[in-house]
Amino acid sequence: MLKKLVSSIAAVILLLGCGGGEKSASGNPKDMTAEIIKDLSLTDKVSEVEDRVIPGLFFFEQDTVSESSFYAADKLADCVGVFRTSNPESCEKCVRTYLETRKAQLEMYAPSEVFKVDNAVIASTDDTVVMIVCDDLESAGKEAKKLLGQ
Amino acid sequence: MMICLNSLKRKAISLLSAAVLLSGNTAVMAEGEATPEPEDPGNYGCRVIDSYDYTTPVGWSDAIEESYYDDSLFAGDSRMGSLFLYGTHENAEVRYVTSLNLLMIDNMTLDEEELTEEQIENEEEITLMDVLRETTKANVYLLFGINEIRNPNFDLFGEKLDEIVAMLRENNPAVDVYIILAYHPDEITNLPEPDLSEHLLMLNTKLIEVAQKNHVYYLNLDDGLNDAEGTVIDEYTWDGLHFNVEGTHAFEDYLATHVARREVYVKETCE
Repeated sequence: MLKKLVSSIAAVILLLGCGGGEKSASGNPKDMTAEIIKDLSLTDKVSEVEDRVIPGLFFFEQDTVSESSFYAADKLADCVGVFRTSNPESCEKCVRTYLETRKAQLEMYAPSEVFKVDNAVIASTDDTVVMIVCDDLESAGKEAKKLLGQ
Repeated sequence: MMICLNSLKRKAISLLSAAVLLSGNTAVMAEGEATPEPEDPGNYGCRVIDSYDYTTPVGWSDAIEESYYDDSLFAGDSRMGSLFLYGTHENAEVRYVTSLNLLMIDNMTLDEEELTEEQIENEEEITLMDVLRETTKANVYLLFGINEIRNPNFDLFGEKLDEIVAMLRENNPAVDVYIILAYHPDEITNLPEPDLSEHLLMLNTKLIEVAQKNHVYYLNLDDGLNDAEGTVIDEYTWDGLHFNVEGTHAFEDYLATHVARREVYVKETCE
């Protein structure tokens, strides 16, 4: 009887663990972008954007993003962003709007870069949104999952 | 006691008035405020009165002489690039960054065609901010904002422009800065009318705010380069936004005939 109870509890815990879906990501945004850039060899392509101007690029809803880190290339589409947020859905929406704008610009100035934006990696947990735009989109996807513990 | 206090107050006011009169700082300003000038012991008692109305765009005047461009810098986004590509004033310095977002002016580098062979060989990365930080030109023209036109607001954009103008002033107190308002393009991808007009109004309102706050000039190209529909003359652009050769020459004519003449607006009186 006791064995059955323990097994049932264990099964419930396991199910909850799998079905819970989202969870929190560990690490701060600056460390996370640094790791992505290093792992994806983007060091020569992107440079850090001042923290204080990030809200003016993404226009997050007020008080929804508490910490962020953003790196971007100037002539290419490549960019990496990590945003700590209380509202991942709203944050993701703002990230997508930013990418749409960037795409519209690239269509005019660097059309060959547009595919990267079209296939941007955007992944999130309950408190973090990660965005990666680069050549190696497959590795970018794996990197985002790794950092978000997915 | 009351009489004594009143007497003291009167004496204090008299002393203060005398001090102010002696210092020679009693100028009554006309429309604008006095332009800050470096103190010159030789000009003791002189006042510079700037009567320019910074709430209005620079008006028409006879074309400026060619030597003006020796000391002029034109900086901005790809729209300014037309002066680099098709401009006729070879003595002017033109610097631009394609797809420039003002908030990323510290990150975005000049286009390769603007660099010397040596700079390219050395893989030098020069940002437009570097150029603005180091310039000693007397006339600086700024054209920013079209890549931000989809923004829902221009608050941080305005703050950044404010910083740039302040920096230019700090580096060269005598600099004349001209902010060029965004002219109305035929169309912008993903921003149909009436949104485009609304965003242009928001952007230009912010640009004018910065100009007025800093007492710098602004130019309204819509008043001269627009057609009956209120957008830039079709023949002047190759894509509804960027000037072609004909448009660049019209742009140049506009700039040449819209220069604020210091000698008209700024007077120095010495006593």
